Amino acid sequence: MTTMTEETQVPETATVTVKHESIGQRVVNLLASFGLTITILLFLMVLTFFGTIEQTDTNLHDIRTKFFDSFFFTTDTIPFLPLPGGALLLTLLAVNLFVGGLLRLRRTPSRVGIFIIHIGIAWLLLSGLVEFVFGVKGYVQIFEGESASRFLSHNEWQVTIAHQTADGKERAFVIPPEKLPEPGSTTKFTAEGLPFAVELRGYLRNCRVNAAGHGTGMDGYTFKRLDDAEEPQNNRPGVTAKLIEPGGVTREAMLHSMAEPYVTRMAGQRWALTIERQSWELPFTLKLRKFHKEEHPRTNVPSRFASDVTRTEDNVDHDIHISMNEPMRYAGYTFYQSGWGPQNVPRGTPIKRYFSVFSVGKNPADRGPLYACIVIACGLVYHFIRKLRLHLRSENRRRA
Amino acid sequence: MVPIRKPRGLRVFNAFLPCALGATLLLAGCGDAEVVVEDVRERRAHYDYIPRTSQQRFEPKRRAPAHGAGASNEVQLAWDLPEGWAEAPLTQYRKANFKIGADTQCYLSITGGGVEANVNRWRKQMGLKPQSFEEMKAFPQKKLGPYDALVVDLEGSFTGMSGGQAAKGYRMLGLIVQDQQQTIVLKMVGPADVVLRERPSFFRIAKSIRRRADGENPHGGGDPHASAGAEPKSDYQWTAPKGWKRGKPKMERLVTYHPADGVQCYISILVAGGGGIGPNVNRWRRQMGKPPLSNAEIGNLKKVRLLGQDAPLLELMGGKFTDMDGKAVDGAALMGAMCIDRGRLITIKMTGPTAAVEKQREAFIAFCESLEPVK
Repeated sequence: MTTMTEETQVPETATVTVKHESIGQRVVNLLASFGLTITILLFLMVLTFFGTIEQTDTNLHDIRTKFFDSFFFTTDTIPFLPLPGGALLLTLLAVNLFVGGLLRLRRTPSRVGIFIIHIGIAWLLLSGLVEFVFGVKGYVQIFEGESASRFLSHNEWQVTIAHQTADGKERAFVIPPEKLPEPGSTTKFTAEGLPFAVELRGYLRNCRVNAAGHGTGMDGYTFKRLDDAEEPQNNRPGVTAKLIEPGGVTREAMLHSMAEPYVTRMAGQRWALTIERQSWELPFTLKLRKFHKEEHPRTNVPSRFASDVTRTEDNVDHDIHISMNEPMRYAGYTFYQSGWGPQNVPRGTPIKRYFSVFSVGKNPADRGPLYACIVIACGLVYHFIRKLRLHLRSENRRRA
Repeated sequence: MVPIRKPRGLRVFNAFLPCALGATLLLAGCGDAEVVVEDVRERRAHYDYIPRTSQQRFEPKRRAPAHGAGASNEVQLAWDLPEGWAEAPLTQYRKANFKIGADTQCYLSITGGGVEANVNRWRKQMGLKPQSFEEMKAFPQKKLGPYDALVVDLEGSFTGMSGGQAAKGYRMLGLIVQDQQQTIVLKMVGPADVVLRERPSFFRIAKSIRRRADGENPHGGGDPHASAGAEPKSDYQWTAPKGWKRGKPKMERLVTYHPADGVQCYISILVAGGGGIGPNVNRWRRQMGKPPLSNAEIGNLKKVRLLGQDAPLLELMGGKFTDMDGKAVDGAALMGAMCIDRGRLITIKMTGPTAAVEKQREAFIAFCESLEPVK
């Protein structure tokens, strides 16, 4: 890359030298600059400030979504001014670190340690980005003796249209949360292999079903809109679905997250429609064989709880023990023992079966932070040992 | 002076910001849309595909009539009703509801929240301070159906759910047990002397609660209507022609009859118009392998009086009938009529072998004409 320099004569006293750099060079300069680093850190401070203040009125999930998972956000204090969100700032910080700390860093022996540290930090940020974009988190609750082949979201909801197939399995058409219609709008869904269209309207994030009596609402029932629950996992959404066959035959039903699926016949098959927690299928099934817990003496507070599970994949069983600090990691999924039930049962009351709750995470960069920390530690060790050697050498020289 | 210009990168960034915001607002403002579903999964079956009425779906805790095939999974209960007790209408959360005299009530409910929270809620209703979990463990136990439940006996001033004025000199007797995630409760509240007097009856009825046997009514004995197969509650009534046998309840059908061997006739109700008359007439024609009719042709069909309207009457004889399961029958006939009533599509349809359907033609028309709203 060449740099062209020319001098411009300014009247009388001053001579200003203007460097004409290519656009690419300027962009690189900007991205590598300490100015950008400082600006990003300042905005991160602003972000943390507003994110913390807003927690007095809003739950943690909404705060995370609004401030930290977003590219821009606005606040009630200055609603007209969009500010950069966590996703944008961290992306910029990663780029700044990559360009300034890796590409433009002088590659001398004295900088090798710092270079390695920068690689580690960039790796850490990249892991965060991969988790943000590709990672999913949820939970699965399994009773003893039962098995599960999917896990559920805590906060997000989907609409599922399913029918049974000849082999006793199920074919499900899933409308993901981000495609559900906004309140007040209608969205029509079609799919290859779905013999009718489904129109969704009147989506409510939190509602209950009211028995309005015959001749009112749909089949005597209406939705009653409720304020959002304090914790988003306690929201109970509802939506009205209309099934439209190509001939114009329709069926209409209210779907509510607390209600059984709506089952009807269309095109010669039974179909089930439901609004349910967003789910992800697992490539294996997990069966809870036995739940164990130990309690602190004379209390119902567990000191330790764990689950014996069987993971079945391709007709091959694997027996696994999952406890609070020993998650099961397999095929990109991590299962943590996070809860159990039923609880609040007096001693002596017979409990037929326990259930286990596992937090499930799928994160392609699951081990990224661990490896990044190892790299950072290596960089630090190298750098400090080098500094120590230099210091000792200069001390010896001084003494000599 | 030479003006100092901002780096171009920053200018690009500043220009990008309003563009991105504009695009976001534009997308957010989009209204109705059509979307292709791409997430299609072949998986283990998660649903039971049992059709349920709106009441069964939205009020599963309310005791619904016994439905036979296509009924809810809800367990129907029975009990031995003590002398002097009367059954009261069910409410949303009460599986059984009884009145004993004017001021005393007793009910069975299946709720959540656990034992500790519920007992302390009751104590609050009786104006008592909460108890610790440890103290509750010392409560005596009695039978509640198959369970060993804790006995809660409280005396004080009762303030009901509505939180009105407290009634002094009241007593609350309860049995409570946790089963999985459900808290099962039998509770009697009333003036202290009545509750004390009815205490033995309370424990007797608690012990007698059981799963209802086929043909048994809730308070023991046989149910005279059970064999007939109760139908979903309806605001329509009709007269079935002589010789028509009532069939088992089916999904989306108000009632099913078997007028003759191989012939069935049923009334169905579809909410929100079910797509209207035209598409449904042509759906039936498609089932018989006939081409669709235009609206004008449908308007020219014979008419039958149905719910006070002139409803189109379909008579499709001697065709190949393909039912909703895709099963085809040769030499079949279909007679049908439909109309829109209060936003709902009401259809009456009879199918079967041609000769048998032809024999039932007049009965079918009489059946259609007998349908009327419950007054």
